[in-house]
Amino acid sequence: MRGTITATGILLAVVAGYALSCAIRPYRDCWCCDGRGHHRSKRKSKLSRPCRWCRASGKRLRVGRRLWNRARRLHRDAGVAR
Amino acid sequence: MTVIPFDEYDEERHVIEADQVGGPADAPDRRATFADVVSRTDSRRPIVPAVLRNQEGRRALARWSVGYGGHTALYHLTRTPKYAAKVALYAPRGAARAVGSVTWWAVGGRENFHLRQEAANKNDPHTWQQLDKRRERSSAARWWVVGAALVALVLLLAAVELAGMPPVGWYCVAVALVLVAARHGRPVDKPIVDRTVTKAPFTKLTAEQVRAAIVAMSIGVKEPGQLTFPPPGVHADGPGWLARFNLPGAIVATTVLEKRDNLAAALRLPVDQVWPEVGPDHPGQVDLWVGRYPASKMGQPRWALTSPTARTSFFEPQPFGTDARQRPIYITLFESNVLIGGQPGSGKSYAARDLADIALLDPTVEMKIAEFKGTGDFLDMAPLCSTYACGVDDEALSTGRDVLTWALAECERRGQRIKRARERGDAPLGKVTPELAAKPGSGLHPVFILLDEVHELFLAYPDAAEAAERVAKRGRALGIFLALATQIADRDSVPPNITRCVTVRWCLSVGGQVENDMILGTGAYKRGLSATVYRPRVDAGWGVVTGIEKPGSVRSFFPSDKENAAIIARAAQLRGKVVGEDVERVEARDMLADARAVLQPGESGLPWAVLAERLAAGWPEMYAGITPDMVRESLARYGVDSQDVKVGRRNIKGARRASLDAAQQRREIEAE
Ligand SMILES: [Zn+2]
Repeated sequence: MRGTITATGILLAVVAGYALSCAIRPYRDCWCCDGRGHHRSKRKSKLSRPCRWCRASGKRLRVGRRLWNRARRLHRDAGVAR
Repeated sequence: MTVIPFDEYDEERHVIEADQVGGPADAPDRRATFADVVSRTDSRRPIVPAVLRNQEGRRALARWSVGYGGHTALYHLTRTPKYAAKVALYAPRGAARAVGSVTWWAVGGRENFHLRQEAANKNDPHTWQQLDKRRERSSAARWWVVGAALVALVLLLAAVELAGMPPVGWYCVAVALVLVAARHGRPVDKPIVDRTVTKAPFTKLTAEQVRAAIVAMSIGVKEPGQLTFPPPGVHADGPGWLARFNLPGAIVATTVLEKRDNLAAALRLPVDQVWPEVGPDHPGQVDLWVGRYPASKMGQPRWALTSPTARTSFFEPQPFGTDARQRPIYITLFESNVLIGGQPGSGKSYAARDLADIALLDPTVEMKIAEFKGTGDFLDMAPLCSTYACGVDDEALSTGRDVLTWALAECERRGQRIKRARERGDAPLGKVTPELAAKPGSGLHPVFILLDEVHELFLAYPDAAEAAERVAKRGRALGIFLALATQIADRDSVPPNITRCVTVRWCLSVGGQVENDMILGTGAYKRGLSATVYRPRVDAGWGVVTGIEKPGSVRSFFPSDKENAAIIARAAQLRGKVVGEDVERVEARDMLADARAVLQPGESGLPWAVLAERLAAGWPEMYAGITPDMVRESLARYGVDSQDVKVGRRNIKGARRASLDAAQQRREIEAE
């Protein structure tokens, strides 16, 4: 029983912390281009192509924030429809 | 004025007085000269506040401070555990908040926070990055500041420690920090410390409140700015605040006085906390005094007469009550007489007692007290009185009448003495002087007569009312003071003639406007002199007094039983023996029988004037000073009509033998 409460508490704390961090820093570096926004060509030429994942920005929304945004949009649309 | 010379030698000179149309009509302005300035007599504001100037005020302030401080301290002391629990809860929160807010500031979290959130919501990473760069730039140096502050703090603590701070000091610092943290961590609407008083007292009167209230009364003031407050403005005055203000235009202060209820309503205060008066400078000025508490809740300053060395004078002003502002109100017994009226429970007897106390503490004053209630309200004074009566029985009532008869005769005797004194040059104004009164054997010592519940006496002996009226009129200058107290002051119980010739009228709590005006005079209620606001028992002692320097509300002093006993003891010590002698008990006479006795054989009747003369000559101890009208009224009660009586050839109104005999027969039949 006590273990369950402790576990739940820790879980809640972790979730809250993650949510807070998503609110304060919503972006992180793109995993595909390491935050550069473009890929180097393999033949070491000066040409490089933009990263498609992050649309050349080098940043991607974090998963938590992405979920949050989607939930917000759903909520807002429902509100408008009603 | 224009003179037109029509002709140098013509007598018809035309002098034309031209009316001035428009233009200035004022006197020309004159520059103030040095003499003007130095002769100015502007009243200067006192250096020491009024509260601190007399001992009474200082004592009241000290008493209040100690009471308030003590209560507050005890109250909080008993709640210490509760406060400790609250601090334990709020202090960590406060600490976390402090750390959080410093961090948030250091990272520049508030910098374009909403714009960044907007960008993130719309998933616009380019804009977000730009905004984030800007945030980074503007807050780049802040961590250094935080770091420097921390280093400085550590150095300071180390320095203090090295300087030799005792452990107690560190505890104090820790406690202070915890308290600050708790203060920072508590919710805005939840104070840590409880309130010590349930209802916030009326804290302060402001010009704003006064302005709003006067405008709300709709007496012609439209704009709040129309009221002007001459210096010193609204200020503390005694146990309350005084606002002196000028009404605009021709509005007079009495308009405000008449609508005291409305004023109190507009100020959201009880009526007995709001005391408007006409100001000292002009009729449009109002002195609005607002007490810190309603007058009925405030205590009363100590009466000067309760001091163990108190001694009064019949001829000098003596305090007999206080006004709403707790200032003593004075009365001079000499040359005045008092009518006290009020419903049962209004504090009449106590009011009368205050006057008796004043007289008692002047050892030259002879005391005569008669009380027709029978409860012995003045019993403790009886040993010091030359005449004392108590009750509603025939004995007490006839004693009351005897006192008045004696007083009338005494007036006669004193008149003669004053005349002689005046001839000697001792009484230049034809009045008793303090020197004459104090002279042993002068027969002009002051006399204090108090008749409580006097309507009983007047109902039993209608001629007593007339005697009282004459004593009130004549006795004033002769050192005879008359105080009448009554609970009903209608036409029958207390004749209006008496009310009219009494100088000081004291109306305690009464039921309505009619009773109020019966005692205070017609139109008093309309002028704002109304004692109907006082509730019996609750506001006992409060009343409206006219005939003194400043008519208005007065509360009589309420000495405690102990203080009463002390006053009586002090008076007994001052006097040594009873001043004056008891009145001669006059055997009650039967006027009908006497009237028949003075009728000579062969006379068919007597005019009222002759009858009065013969009665006075026959039994002077009873009928001295009786008037024809009094005889007529007294005999009318036996059914003797006023009829024409032949004197020589003329017919004069009087009593006929036939109707006197008829009245006697009727009485005998009734007796059987
Ligand atoms: Zn990428």
